[in-house]
Amino acid sequence: MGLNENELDALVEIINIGSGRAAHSLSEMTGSRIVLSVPNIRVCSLSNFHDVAKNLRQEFSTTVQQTFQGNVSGRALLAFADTKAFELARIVGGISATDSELDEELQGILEEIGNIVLNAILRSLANLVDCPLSCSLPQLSTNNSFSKIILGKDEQAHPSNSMVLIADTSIQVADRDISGSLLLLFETGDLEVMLSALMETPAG
Amino acid sequence: MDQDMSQIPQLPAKLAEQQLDLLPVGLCVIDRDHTILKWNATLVHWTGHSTDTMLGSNLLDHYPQLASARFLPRIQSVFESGQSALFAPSTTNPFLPDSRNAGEGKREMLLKTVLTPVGKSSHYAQLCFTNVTAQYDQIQALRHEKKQHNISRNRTLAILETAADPIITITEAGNIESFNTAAERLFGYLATEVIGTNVSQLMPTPFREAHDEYLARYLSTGKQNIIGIGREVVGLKKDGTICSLWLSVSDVTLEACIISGSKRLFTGILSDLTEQKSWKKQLRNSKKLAEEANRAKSDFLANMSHEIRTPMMAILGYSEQLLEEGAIHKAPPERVHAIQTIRRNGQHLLAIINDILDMSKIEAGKMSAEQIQIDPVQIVSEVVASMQPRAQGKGLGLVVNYETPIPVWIESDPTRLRQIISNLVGNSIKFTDVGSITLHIAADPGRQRLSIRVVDTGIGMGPEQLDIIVRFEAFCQADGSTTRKFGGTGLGLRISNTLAQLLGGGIEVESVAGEGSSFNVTISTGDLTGVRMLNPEQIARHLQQATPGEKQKAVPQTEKPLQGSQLLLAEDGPDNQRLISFFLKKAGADVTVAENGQIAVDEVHDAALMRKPFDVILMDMQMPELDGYGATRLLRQEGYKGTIIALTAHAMNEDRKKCLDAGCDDFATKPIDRHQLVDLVNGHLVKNACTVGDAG
Repeated sequence: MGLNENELDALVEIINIGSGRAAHSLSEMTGSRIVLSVPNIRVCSLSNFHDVAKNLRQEFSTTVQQTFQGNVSGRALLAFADTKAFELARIVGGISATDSELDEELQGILEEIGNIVLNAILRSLANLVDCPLSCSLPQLSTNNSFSKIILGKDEQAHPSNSMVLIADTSIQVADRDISGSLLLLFETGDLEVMLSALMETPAG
Repeated sequence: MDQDMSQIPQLPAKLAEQQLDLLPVGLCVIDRDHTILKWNATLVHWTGHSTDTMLGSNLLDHYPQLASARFLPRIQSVFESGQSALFAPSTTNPFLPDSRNAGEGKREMLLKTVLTPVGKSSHYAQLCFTNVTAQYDQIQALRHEKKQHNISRNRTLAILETAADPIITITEAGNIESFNTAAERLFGYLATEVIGTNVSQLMPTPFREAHDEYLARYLSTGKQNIIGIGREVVGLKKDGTICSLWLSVSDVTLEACIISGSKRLFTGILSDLTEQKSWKKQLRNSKKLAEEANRAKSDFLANMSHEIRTPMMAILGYSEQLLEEGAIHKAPPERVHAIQTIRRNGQHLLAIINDILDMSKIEAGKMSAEQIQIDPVQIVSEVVASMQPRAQGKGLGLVVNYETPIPVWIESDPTRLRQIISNLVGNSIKFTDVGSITLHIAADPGRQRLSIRVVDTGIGMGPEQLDIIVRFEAFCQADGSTTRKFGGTGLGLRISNTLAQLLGGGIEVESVAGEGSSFNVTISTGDLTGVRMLNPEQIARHLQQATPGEKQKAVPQTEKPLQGSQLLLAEDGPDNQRLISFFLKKAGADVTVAENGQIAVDEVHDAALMRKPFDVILMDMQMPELDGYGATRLLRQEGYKGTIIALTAHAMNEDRKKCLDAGCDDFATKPIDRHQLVDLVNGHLVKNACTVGDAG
């Protein structure tokens, strides 16, 4: 399904509201200014996701994911390249480890970052569809490619016409720009539900 | 479905409540106003706050930190959005005091905190605290160990990387673990290209296959081919070229550690032998060239000696013949003087040639010495007697002083000993104008040593000159400028020193410029146990006894010892033909001359037919048509049994052997002294007569 320019703009807006709130929480957590931006988003069907994932600039293999249920249901994922995930956790946790192995402490920090970001985005969506979304606790997965996490499981869980929303993210922390990717996977028809709710809401 | 559920037995509410107290995690339930509705036993244990105190009170009153912007908005969102929230232990300042560790060393717990909404409308929230203190302590320890490991690893890597020699580490399976910069330079591979691959790719076939076998054998039997030893191997570079390397391998077992576990590695340190090999090759070539040049020099000397000795024979022989002719006393004194000068210079020239020959023998390592019983007193007195005329000619005294009893015989080489003493005494006479030359003779039977000290009152040498002399280098005289005045090749001392060493001793020199020199020769005497020692009076008697014998020996020279003998002289040079036959005829022999080997063989055949066989054949070895070697061999093959004496200008030892191998009975070197020649022939005649007599 194609999205028109207005629909894309509206989605970016919703996600930016969420990421703004997430940045605020992260700043509170670390005691320093953190900026989270979402410069652009793409939407594709699950069957096309493999091709889209191939064209991503980085191999995202560390992901934090939460499932959500309510008027719209699906999974939300925040993904980073391994080294970027490590760097982010290290800066946020103020840890001076010398190698790039994600031990449990760093994994715990990443889980909390994921929880903050994903909760904030999902809360924006919940406000949009005017219904609370019940969210699971964050789950961390390492050394698993982005598309494997999405496709490997979802062949059974989601029909191939499920929609995937991919948003490039950039977390600026302590003068570092850590790029990642935000992914929202909607069950069949749920993206349309969300879009119709979005288009009904008066702009501004 | 609902009906079925109602059938399942339910845990009574009170029991379910008690279950929460048994959990190993802290559990707290609050409502939207943060009023505590549940405070489980684990939390009571951890915080020391009783359930009674906590229930109904406000959580934020107990823990005001939770009201901060860090926590409160997220706690609120649990109620408002029904979302779960997670607080990571390391990003959360611990807020629950650990009552178990009160007092010294008090520390707070690291908690993983999870907030989840409870109930459909999210009216309540459950806080679940998991104590991860121990777990995180372990993580810190591990991180510390890793850091230490990395430091030592980096240090090792830095050493490896900066090492000048290529260093390669392999596993038991032969897979490359490390490959330093020097190895990259040598083989042309990047470390990243070879790490993890098998080391055998760095070797050409068949070394590649052999390496796998070595490794397998060492691992199974401990048999070392290279490990702990080192040896030369062949390497294969990335560009396909082959290089020669020295490889030393050590076997390293890394101790068990948390991170990497126990591991066995082989470390190979290489050095490139290519350059070294090329030097060796150059060196070998240079050595070969030097040896060839030296051989050419020796050949040249040997040939030259032959070429010079042959005419020398004619010069010396004829000058002697002229001096002995009956009418010589009637000749004008100038003519006699001229002939004497020719003879003296010929003798001098011959001495020089002999020195050069000795020198080339020394350099070729072919100088050898005999070990026979000799009479040292006899030899010293002979040399002194022969040198006496020269000393007297310069007005110098030449005396012998026996300082100790002297053994009646010692084991040594008479010719070499005579040569050493003659040379030293000759030198002393040469460099002394006024005074005397004294020979101090001393024996030390205990140390089996005989010393002959030649002391003169000559020009002597200063320290610098002495330095040059004691090096005993060939062609050296102490002062280059004296060479013209005194003459000589500078070979004498070098030869004497080498000969003295050959006789088990050496020469020591002491000298003061202007006062004189002292040359002390020491030689080995062999075991003197039971050998009679002569004191000075006995020595004098001993000499008197020996002297008449000498005189008797000299008597036959004036007679005709070869009277009636039939001799064949095979000699191509007309001068020597005439000279030698003159000497032999004068001694009474009947001489037949043959100009080459073939004629000689024919003459022998003719004589046999005539039943007048030759008593002795004198065979020159270098002749046209058929040379002496060939003629002798031919005669021996035919069964000729008569005496054949080889005459040759070649003076080397191997020439002697060559003559005897061809079938000669004896050997004489040109130029031959006429008396020696007659004695030699006479000796064989006497011997043959005895043999015939015995046989008869």
